[in-house]
Amino acid sequence: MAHIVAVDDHPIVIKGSPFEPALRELGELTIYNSLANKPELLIERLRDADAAVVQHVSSRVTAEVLEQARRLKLIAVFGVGVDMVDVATCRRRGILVTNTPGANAAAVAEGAITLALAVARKVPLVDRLTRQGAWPQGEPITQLCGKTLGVVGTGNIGRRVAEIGKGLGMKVIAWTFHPSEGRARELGVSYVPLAELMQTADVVSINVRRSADTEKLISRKLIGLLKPTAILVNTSRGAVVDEEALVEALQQKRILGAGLDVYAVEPLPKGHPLAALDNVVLFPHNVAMTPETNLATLEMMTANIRSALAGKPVNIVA
Amino acid sequence: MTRIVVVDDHPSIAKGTIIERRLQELGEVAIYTSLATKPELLIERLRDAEVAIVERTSSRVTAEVLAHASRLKHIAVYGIGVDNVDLDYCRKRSIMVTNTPGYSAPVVAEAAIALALAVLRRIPQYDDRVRAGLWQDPGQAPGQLYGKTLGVVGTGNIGAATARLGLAHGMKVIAWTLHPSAERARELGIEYVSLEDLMRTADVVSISLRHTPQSEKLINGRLLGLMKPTAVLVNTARGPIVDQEALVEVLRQRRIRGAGLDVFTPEPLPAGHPLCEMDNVVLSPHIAAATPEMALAGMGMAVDNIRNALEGHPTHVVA
Repeated sequence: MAHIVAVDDHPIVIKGSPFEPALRELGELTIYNSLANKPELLIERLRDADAAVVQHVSSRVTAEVLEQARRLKLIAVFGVGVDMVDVATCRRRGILVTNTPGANAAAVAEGAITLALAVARKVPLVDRLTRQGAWPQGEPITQLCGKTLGVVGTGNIGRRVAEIGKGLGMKVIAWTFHPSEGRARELGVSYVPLAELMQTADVVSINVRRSADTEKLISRKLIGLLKPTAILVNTSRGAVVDEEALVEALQQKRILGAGLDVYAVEPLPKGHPLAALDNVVLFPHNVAMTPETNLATLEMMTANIRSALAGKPVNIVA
Repeated sequence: MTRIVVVDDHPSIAKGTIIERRLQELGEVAIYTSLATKPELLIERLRDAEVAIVERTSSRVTAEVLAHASRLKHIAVYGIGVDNVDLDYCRKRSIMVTNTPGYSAPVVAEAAIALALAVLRRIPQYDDRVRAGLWQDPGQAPGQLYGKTLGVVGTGNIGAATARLGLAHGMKVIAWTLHPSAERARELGIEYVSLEDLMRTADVVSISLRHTPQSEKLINGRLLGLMKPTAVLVNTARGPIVDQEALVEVLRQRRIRGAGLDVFTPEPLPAGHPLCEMDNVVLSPHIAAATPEMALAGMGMAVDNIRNALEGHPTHVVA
């Protein structure tokens, strides 16, 4: 019987869910209810695992970790990005890696729009001042209606961001590695070069996956092109943005602000310069963590494990 | 020359802008750049005024105030709600009252959705947590709009715009109005229900009514008691439409998930108010439409109303 190990079920998603019994039918299930943010923890937890469930980017399944997971055949990632897994080593070792594309698109896109609105309307600052009795009607706020949204990456999440943006009365422009006229027509957006997007958009939403090609894709140079009134939103991966350059732009108020769910290092270290800025709104990588999305993702992930164990794998990344 | 007084330009949107220059073409202009929250202030500022621009709900243009404003002919309200003006008294004295409807609906609707998202996603609480070096909180899962039901109370310009945004967010939209019509429902892609059903069913309830004697405390303790434990109340209309004491009680007992409030009874919200201590609310100081674009458009419309009235063909007359 296959040994299935959920290495980092924290906050708890699997335990007690309708999918815990379904997973137990597929094999012997072990659930760890803490993060696995140290290699030795992950090594220990994966020692006898045939299949691993990985939920968090802080569980770094490196070559070193994989080296000691001798029985591992399958890594079922709970989510879309698999950048916490050394996919090249997995390929070499014949370890299958699966993900759950699309399951979180609605919640993540909504989270991106939430962050844009929160920065535009200074939600946390205005809330704090109002509670203090300051009635801060003079705090300058802005609106999204009538502005231009620039979507970087038009996969499941990016296209949903574009849809909501249009619903809000925004003009939507987009960039992707492989633009096509058909895709542009279907989405009702126009594709532009990345530099033009950065120069033009009032809100820039990052929705590309992290890969060697997208590491620091949003470079210091591109951040320098943003308008002084622009808002940058990142709900994909911290590594896609040059975080140091972004912090400088925010400190020097060269852009209006940023709404961030993801960071170069997660959890965001205490005392990080971002935490001292009043032109950012910060989330703890949780835009996809709504109960509805957790269930949809679990359902797809459980199906991935069932299919893989039956020899007919689906949603294969490597 | 007509004496035009802006009684409460704070925060300032008229002083030193194109609005001031346009007003100066119409008469002799005085702009006061502080709130007029006390009757004696308002009386003093309106003493010689023929036309008054009133921007803020905290300027209460009562019969007592109006009795001292013997030359006043026209009150041009910046905004839609005119509940801070004694309309009956104005009618008796033949003082015209105008407002600036319509233009701000998409932005007020945007603010309502922003407040709903802020409560569901616990924006202030999570922003605080991350800044303090903490991370995800197992007991405080974020909520989402997608797939949920939005209940819109009132389907005027703002309610209709809110309904459209709800649909754009993948929500089912139900609504209540005093005069529902099948045609309006079809046009908006929504379903009209009774107010009780709306309060019982909706995951997000958004108030978009004007404040009148009929809507005063319309959302009372009984109706608040019907809401689901997971529901969020949003009010961007006027504080007195909701029984605020009953709302505070419901929030205190956590019988609903939370509230996003832009309006209060009274305004400004006093420091130390029970709402200021609650972790299940998100508060803003009546700024739903206070973006630069809307301030310019709204004040521009108020100036148009003044010019049109002076030229003998008044527009947007409320009383």
